[in-house]
Amino acid sequence: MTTDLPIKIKGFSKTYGASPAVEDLTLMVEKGEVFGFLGPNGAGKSTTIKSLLNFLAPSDGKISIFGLDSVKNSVEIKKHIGYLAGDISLYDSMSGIQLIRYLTRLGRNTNWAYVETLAKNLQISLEAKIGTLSKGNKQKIGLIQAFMHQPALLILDEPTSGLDPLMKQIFYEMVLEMKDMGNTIFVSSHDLNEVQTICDKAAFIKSGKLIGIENIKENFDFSIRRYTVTFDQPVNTKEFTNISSVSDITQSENKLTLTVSGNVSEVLSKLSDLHPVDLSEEDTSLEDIFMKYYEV
Amino acid sequence: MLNTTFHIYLISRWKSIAVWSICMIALALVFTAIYDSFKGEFTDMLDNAPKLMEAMLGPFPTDSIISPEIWLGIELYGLLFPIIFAAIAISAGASAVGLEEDSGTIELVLASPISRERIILEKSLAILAQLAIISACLWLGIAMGSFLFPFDVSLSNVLSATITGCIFGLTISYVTLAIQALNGKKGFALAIGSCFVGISYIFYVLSGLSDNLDSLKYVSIFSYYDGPGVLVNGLNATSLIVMVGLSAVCFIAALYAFKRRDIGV
Repeated sequence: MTTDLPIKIKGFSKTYGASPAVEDLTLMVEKGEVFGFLGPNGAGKSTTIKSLLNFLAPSDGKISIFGLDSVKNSVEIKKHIGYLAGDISLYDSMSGIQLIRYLTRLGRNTNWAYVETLAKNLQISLEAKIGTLSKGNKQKIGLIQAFMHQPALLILDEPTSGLDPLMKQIFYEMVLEMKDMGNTIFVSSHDLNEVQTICDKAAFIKSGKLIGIENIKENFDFSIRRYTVTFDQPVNTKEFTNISSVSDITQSENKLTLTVSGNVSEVLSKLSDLHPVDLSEEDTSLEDIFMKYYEV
Repeated sequence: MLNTTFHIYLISRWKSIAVWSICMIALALVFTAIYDSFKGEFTDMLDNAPKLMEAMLGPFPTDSIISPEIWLGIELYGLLFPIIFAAIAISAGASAVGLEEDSGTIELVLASPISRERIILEKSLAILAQLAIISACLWLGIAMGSFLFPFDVSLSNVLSATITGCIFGLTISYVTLAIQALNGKKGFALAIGSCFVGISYIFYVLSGLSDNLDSLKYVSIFSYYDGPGVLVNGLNATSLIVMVGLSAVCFIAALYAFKRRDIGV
């Protein structure tokens, strides 16, 4: 079974009443890939992920996991899936180890030695009641329950939410270890570094529609930056309109804001000639980059 | 079924089950203990009671000294036991899956290789176990009382009435479970389940007040329960079949609805 494509979505649509959440989505995820699934809030990421797991039934189209229908063969499929929800809810009255035992009884083929390794690496005690844990530690328990049976397909929704930078790094190592084992990871994220670090490919979805799929490791250019430059007095914006890498130029009194795609040397040279007094770079979100990239 | 959704349901409610079980034993002991003091005076009190009270509790006896079965029928099985059980049953039916849906833990369960049908089946069995434990404690309390106090009651009839009460609770619980499975909201199921019991009880009372309204009893779950009647006459097979049949229909409706409904929207 696991020789088939881990995920094959064809013409998938989901509507709530009259409003479409996802429209005609088609994508495939290859075995051994770390596949990023990106988009702004309300884009349809969670709807798609919940449909992969058959929490939601497709309104139209078909979803196959390892060649099996996501609705008809849901139970069989879940033997091979690990899932971390975006805002995971755990049983507060249980300890971590009780939760893992419970999920094992529900049919997960737990690798207990691996559970111990995960707990050690993530520096979390499995004996404490979940209700007493911080958000970050609950997220670690969530990660352990998703990874504990070394599933052939991991579906992770915002997996590093609440984790500190050190734990994020450990998580990246966990993902790459799973990838080395030939397993597939489907991950939704807002974190640019995360996507660059772990993803082989990424799909970008907006307003329920697939905007594009890119090979992150090979040919996707993340170098889109937005600068705000302060001068002693207002400058002529025409100085920058002729530069091909510059776009979205706005001026407010003596502050100039512009977006630079790719090489910044020509822009910096021009700015230098105008003697700026301050230069700051705004945080660029992954969504901004994709929207700029696809000009949507 | 250890450590499954069945087990988790019972574990998460063990405090409530323990408290209700102790309350049932205590209630039974109190009513068996005071019977001897009231058995001769009770008929006079009932003769002066309004007709509405008789409609609420069932037909009053005419004997000058009432039997333990009739005493239990009026004091415990007429109103107190079914109302308590209805409240427990509504809460159980609405919460069995509804609590997990509201908290989001249902996603952990559904992400595991377990069918939705099995989740409903295990939760339904857990509700049955919960109601059986609490009602068994009521019977146990009465049995203890019959040994401790002058209370010569037919324990087999008490068992029959308790089983009838348990099935009455189960029916209400499965009605509520089906509503929750259809709608997905615990609060909605609590409200509709309470309305079902409330309206059903009003119909039961109205049917006892006037011959013109007698037919209302056929649509009231309280008419089929008739705990006081079972205490005197033993099990009523027709009533049991109606309640078990309604439970089965609601269970199947819950299975069907939960299997097809979107979860975690």
